[in-house]
Amino acid sequence: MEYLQYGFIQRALIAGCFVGLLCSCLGLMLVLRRLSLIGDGLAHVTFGSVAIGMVFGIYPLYVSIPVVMLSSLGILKLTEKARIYGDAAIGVVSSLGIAGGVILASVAGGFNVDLFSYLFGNILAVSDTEVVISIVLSLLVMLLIYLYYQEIFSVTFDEEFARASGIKTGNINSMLVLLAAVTVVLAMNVVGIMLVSALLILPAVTALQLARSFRNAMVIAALTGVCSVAVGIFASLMLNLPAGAAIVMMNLFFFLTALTGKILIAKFD
Amino acid sequence: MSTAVIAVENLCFQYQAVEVLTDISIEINAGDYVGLVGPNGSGKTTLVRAILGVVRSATGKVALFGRALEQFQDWHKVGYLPQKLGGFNPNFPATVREVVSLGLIARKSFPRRPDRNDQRAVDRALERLDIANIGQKLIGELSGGQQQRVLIARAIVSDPELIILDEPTAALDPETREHFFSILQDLNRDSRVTMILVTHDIGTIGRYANKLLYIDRKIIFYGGFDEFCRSENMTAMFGGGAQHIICHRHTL
Repeated sequence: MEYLQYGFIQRALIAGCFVGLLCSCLGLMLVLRRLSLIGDGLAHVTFGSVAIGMVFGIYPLYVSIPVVMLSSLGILKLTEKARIYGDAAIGVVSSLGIAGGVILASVAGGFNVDLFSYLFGNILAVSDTEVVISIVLSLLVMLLIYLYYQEIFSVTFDEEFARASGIKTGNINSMLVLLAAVTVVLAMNVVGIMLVSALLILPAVTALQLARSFRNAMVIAALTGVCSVAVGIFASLMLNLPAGAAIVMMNLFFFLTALTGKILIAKFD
Repeated sequence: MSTAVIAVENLCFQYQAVEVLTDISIEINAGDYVGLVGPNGSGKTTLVRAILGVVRSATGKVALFGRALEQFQDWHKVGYLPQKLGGFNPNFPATVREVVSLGLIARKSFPRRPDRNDQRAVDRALERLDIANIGQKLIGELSGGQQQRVLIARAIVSDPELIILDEPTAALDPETREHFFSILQDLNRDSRVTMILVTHDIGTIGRYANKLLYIDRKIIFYGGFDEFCRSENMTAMFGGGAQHIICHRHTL
């Protein structure tokens, strides 16, 4: 508990828990829509956008949010207009992000320590401004999920029926990928670009092992996401491990526990 | 003069340069029970989807309850059962009640939260389909027939004035199928709910529907059963045996 008196740990816990909550709720929708890897694809784009920010001397978060949001819409449009599957569209956009990032980093004089901190995350170094941005954007995204819960649920479950219910499914799909874009950029500070998709996918697949309703799945995913971040941060401090990787390992631990529990229950039921 | 529930005018639809529907014009009136039949790939599902705006028609006009499809807002008047049972993710963690309540979204105003009246409507729909006992089960845990019943309950839960069902009985056992058709018949007869039933089961449709729409990319026949049974063109189209089955069942 003595760790809690340090400002940098307080900031890490607050920002991390908000982002963890956000990732887990949105991740559940993405996993169920079979868009699990959109987080990975957008994370690669984030790499490119961070490189743009560094080359032009702009705070990377300010570049990343619009660039990644545009890319997320690009993935959606590629899927709709070019008649290619979602995973292929993600592959196209993510490779563009990585290639662009590498070229920009090379032009700017090669990779440096800053770029690596974005790749692997450094939540313990999160600033007051980043905490405020994380809280505000997380609350905004959560509010949108709350307000459009029924539409998102309907579109996620059965898009054709949702369309025949008068739901503007195109708008809901756009909203989902835009929220995913904001979430990925926020999660970059928590676990780094390389591990963002774990923060989106693992709480969701943990919830899917245990949930007995959609609402129930949201709650389990949210608890898993928040607990993983909190326990992961403390574990990283106590065991002197990288925070991002510790958070992901906690997520993996929860998933394996849930999976084992489900298998055992099924066996003895 | 009463307004047609569905009015389709010169509807054409192309998919990747292939003409799937050609110059379809029909009117379906309140209380009609239309059997939509045709061979595989004849455009039955596409027609239904174009009528509901699920696919955008390339040309032509569609109006629902007297309003152009683009301006139509009263989606709670329409109940729909899509064709594919596998259209949803079987691992989706939704209970039967949650799935059925999706059928009420169209009548809710933003943010569309269900209330007690909605819960009662869900109860009624579950009881009507004899699935009240599985309300808390996950949809993925059910058999194909049970899942189909849940989706039928979702289609009728909002007490729609028009119900469109695309091959609804494919996964149902004979007993459930009979029960299902009797529910539709009650809705059609007692509440004058307009029905469109897409099916390959021409024997059954002859027994329940009062109009037949036979398409094969274009309309081959649209009219009442009496006219259909007398038509020599239809004898040539269906073969005497199939036409006989439809007409025989219709007169039962």
